[in-house]
Amino acid sequence: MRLPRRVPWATLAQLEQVYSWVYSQDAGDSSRDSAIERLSAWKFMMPLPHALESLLSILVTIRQESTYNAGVSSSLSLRQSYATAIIRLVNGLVDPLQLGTYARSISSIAAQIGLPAWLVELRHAATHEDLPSLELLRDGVKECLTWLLHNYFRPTLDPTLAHAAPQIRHSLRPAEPLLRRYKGLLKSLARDDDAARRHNADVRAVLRELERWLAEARIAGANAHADADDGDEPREAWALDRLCEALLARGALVPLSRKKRAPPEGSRYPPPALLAIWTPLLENLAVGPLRTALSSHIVARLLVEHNHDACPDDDDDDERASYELCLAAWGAWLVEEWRLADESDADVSARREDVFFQLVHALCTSCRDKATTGAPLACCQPGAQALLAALCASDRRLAEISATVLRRANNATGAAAQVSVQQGDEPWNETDLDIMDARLRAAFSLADAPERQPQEQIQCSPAPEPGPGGRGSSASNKEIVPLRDGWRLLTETDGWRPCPIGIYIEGR
Amino acid sequence: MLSAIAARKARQQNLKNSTKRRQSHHTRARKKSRSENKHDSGTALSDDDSGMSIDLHQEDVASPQPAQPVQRKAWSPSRLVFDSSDDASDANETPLSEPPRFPSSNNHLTNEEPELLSTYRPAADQNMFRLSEDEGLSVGLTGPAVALVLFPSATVSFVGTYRLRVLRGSIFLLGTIVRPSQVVHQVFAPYSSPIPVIQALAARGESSKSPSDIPARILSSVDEGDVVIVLQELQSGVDGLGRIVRTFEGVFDDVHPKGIPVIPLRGAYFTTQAVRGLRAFRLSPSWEAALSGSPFSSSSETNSKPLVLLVKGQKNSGKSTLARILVNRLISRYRRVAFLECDIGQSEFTPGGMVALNIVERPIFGPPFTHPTLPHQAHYVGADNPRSSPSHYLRAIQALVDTYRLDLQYATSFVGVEDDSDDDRIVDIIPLVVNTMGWTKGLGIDLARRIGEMVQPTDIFTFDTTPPDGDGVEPHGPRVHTLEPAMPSPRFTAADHRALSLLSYFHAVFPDPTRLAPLQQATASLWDASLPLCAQPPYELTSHLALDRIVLTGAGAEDVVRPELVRVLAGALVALVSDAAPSRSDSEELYTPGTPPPDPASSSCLGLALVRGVSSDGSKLQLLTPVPPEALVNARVLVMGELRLPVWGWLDFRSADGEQTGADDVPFLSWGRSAGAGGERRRVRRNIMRRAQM
Repeated sequence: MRLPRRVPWATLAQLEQVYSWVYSQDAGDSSRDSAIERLSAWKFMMPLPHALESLLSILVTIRQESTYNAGVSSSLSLRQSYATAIIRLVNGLVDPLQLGTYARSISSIAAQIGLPAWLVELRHAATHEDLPSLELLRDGVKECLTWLLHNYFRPTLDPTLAHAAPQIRHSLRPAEPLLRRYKGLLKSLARDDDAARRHNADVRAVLRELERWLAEARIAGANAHADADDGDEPREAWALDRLCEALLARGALVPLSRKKRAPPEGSRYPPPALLAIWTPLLENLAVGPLRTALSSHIVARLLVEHNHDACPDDDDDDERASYELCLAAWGAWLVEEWRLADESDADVSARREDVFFQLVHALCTSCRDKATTGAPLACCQPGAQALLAALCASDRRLAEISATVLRRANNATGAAAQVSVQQGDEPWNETDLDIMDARLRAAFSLADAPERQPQEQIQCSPAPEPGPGGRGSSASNKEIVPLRDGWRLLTETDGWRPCPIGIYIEGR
Repeated sequence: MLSAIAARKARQQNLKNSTKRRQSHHTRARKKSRSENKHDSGTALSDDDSGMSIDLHQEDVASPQPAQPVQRKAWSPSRLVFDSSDDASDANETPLSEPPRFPSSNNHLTNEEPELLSTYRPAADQNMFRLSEDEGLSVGLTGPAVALVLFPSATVSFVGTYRLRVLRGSIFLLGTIVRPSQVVHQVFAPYSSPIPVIQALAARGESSKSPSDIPARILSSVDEGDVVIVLQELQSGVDGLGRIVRTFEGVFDDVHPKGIPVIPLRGAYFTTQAVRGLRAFRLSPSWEAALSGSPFSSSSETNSKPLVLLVKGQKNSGKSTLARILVNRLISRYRRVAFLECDIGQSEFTPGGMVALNIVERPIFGPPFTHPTLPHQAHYVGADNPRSSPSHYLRAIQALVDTYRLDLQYATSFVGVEDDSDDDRIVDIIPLVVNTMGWTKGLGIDLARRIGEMVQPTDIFTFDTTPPDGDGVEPHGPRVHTLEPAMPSPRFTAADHRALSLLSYFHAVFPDPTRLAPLQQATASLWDASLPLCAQPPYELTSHLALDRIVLTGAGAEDVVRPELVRVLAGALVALVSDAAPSRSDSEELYTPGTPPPDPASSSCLGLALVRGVSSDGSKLQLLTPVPPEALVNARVLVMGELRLPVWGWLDFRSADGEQTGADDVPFLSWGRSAGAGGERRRVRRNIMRRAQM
């Protein structure tokens, strides 16, 4: 169940009223004051959306300016008010987007959400340097008002505009160049030790840049995901998905050269040279979630690419096979070898089973599909098969399961091809329905068993009867214990009826 | 709350990806997705090193197995601290510094068998007897019951609610020894809190005081040293709260898989093992040591000064649990115990937002939301921490301390009002237990010191391991007992508990105070959760007749001008206050911006109410309050603070998505995400690091 948010307005029309008090053509001092009063009241009711809170402090400062008398009163307090309004607006917009472990620069986040760079500079000056001039601050506040108009009010009042709003840019720079740079550095590092000393700083820089890229991706993900209310998980997942795509493209985890891809003889894992290059990177990034994302991406790719239409650029079957085999080796390595410090064998086997069942399930269905469509039976998913074999090698139980299941599926393919033809002709039999019913009942009885008891419980414990002195009795005692002057208990006979909290229905 | 929803979402996602996987695999996938959620979000409270992270909503756990301990992650983006918010306003803490953690007594169990909660195995007519209605009456219960014969040191646990009477021997329950008596205790054991384990203590020769109570057919099966208890179902309606605050849905339900011996008791489920995240209540050795110390030995009685026990420590360290045990232990020696609540975030007897003085007469077996009580006296602070109004907070506590010192500590004026010759407990002295807030930094230190000066404790129970600075222990100062902090609950946040406690209050059925003797404890034992708040008939107040004043308190309250008051009050949570200050003259306005809250020395908070509707001119207010009207006779001041009704309370739980039928647009609520930038309230993160800090 999705919980709603509290908002200060009863209807959007009330927000629209505030909007017109501030932004309409004939907005003057009195309408500004109305807006200030309304926003102050709202602010006391509940924590305001940041945009409205900023608007309130801007409006109050503007009102302060109207009583400012140059030469008589000091400009300092006015400048401080302006500065505070701007600082808090920028901070409040940027802070929620600090999604990483380490702080990102404010200007980079501001750029991503389309906040003018000079407001960020103004914020910096107002915080750390000489307090800016009144003129500059006035301009800054004007800019803030415009930004709020386009980025908060318009999209909120008219949700259809939401996506047209220039709020957060979707664009995310590609990660590939970063990965290439990293790969180049690590290669030269591997070649001679001298380079290691020279390039260590460079490697750190690239890794940091990659982290920065992930942080940007999280923010872009905030926008790609309409459901950002769910917290940061979808953003994080979105960002990791983009990273996985970049990592699994040819030229990253899987090198372009086919010779460098194949696992060494007798090993299920990628060649040591590849591991040497990429493990530092993987370990530097968020390990647990990345591994999960990466292995599910690998499985998805292994299962999808057997479809010729899926990757038209891939005309060479051998090339694809070698790519898939290398992916499979990575997949096996991720499951079996890449452990976090605290992980036990149980974790690994849980992970292994997870991947295993995905693979087996998909392979079985694809076999069956092929049988029914009459496609060639030869399994053309070498990667998936290889990964399956690698997983089975570490767990005999899984090996048995896969042997049984796949054999049956393969046997079935032959039979199924015939059956499917037959079934098409076979007339519908009334007894089939009975069989299905019986199965359904069996299934329900399984599902019901653990749940029945709580349901009974609900039935046998009806709402408790109000005890002596309880609310119920006080209602019936209404005549005996008269309520004080000015109090009365409404009932439905007074014309009152249940309605959402906040709605007033007068009693007769 | 939200993390649970997110976790469920993630599970659904996971299932979508693999709809046709084998059933057993589903289980695995869910478990996995949950533990991964923990890894990447940390919202599921990463303080959880008890290792009990199995998802409670898993329907298909075939055999209980301990989950792997979840590695704590140093940082996670979702571990946010909200500033002055209603659902996570524990902003007092600094997340950068983790609370100190100690090896707990049950830590060694993490990787082994699930904890054993019951060593007792029921066998009908051997050690478990169903009592007929008559037999039940004969042992002081109102109907059919179950009698259990426990061998010494046997343990038995239930999830749910039940009534309990000890007939023979004594038991150890939630840190307190319960001796045989006529008293029928009410036990609330939701699995959202550590489960009470009933432990039989050998009946040392003390043949039960009234052996005639035990039906003869049972007596024949009772060995020397056996303990006999009777249990009865307790229908309180408290489980209905789970329908309202859905995070707590089913916390009173059976958690066990099928196939364990069942004791026929409706609403209470015999539980043998700590499965599905269940945690048993355990008294750690440091607690036992502190508790068995001086304040409870009879020697301290020679000193005629009443005991004043002060509990202090960081949030989540177990203050409230300890305070409850202290009360329960004192009650075995004193007829009444006073309880001063200074933790306005999560109060024991009252909803949050107020400091309160309560009188307790019966041991309390259950988490705070199961015993909402009308306070002896209370003062509304109006927020879940005293940051906005520290001096008002202190004045309010001072007023309560004065009340205790003047009226209660030597309750001479009340002695003899009711005389129970059977009762050999002390009547004319009422000891005091003081629970303090968990704000132990910055201004909080100062406030805590001032509270200490006011109450002048005889004993201090502290979770703070750093020795008191400077002068050390004064010879005539309070005795100081240092305890290890307890393990915080892994599944529910402070905000969850606050929401539950407030809504428990609003749905509670309180006894009529005019029918109670002076000082009698007014605890609700029934809940009416049949109607959501939005469907309950309200009181209608004609404001100028019923009220003297409306006061707004909290940051920015002065800026609310008169015409806006109507808007502010709609949907507001207000305190009903009686004030001895002169009432309003006709020329005076009901509301004047900047009016200070009523002076605690002359006023008293009678309870909370929800303003569910306001007429457009403000002349009529519609209020919902669980406080009986008899108690509201003097409520002539409304005080609105920063507390707000949790979103759960706004919803109509009878419809699937909480939206009310019959209303197109629910005011003040918005489903879906805010479209504009800056549409969310400000979020404050205090755990962000700079590169340079590495």
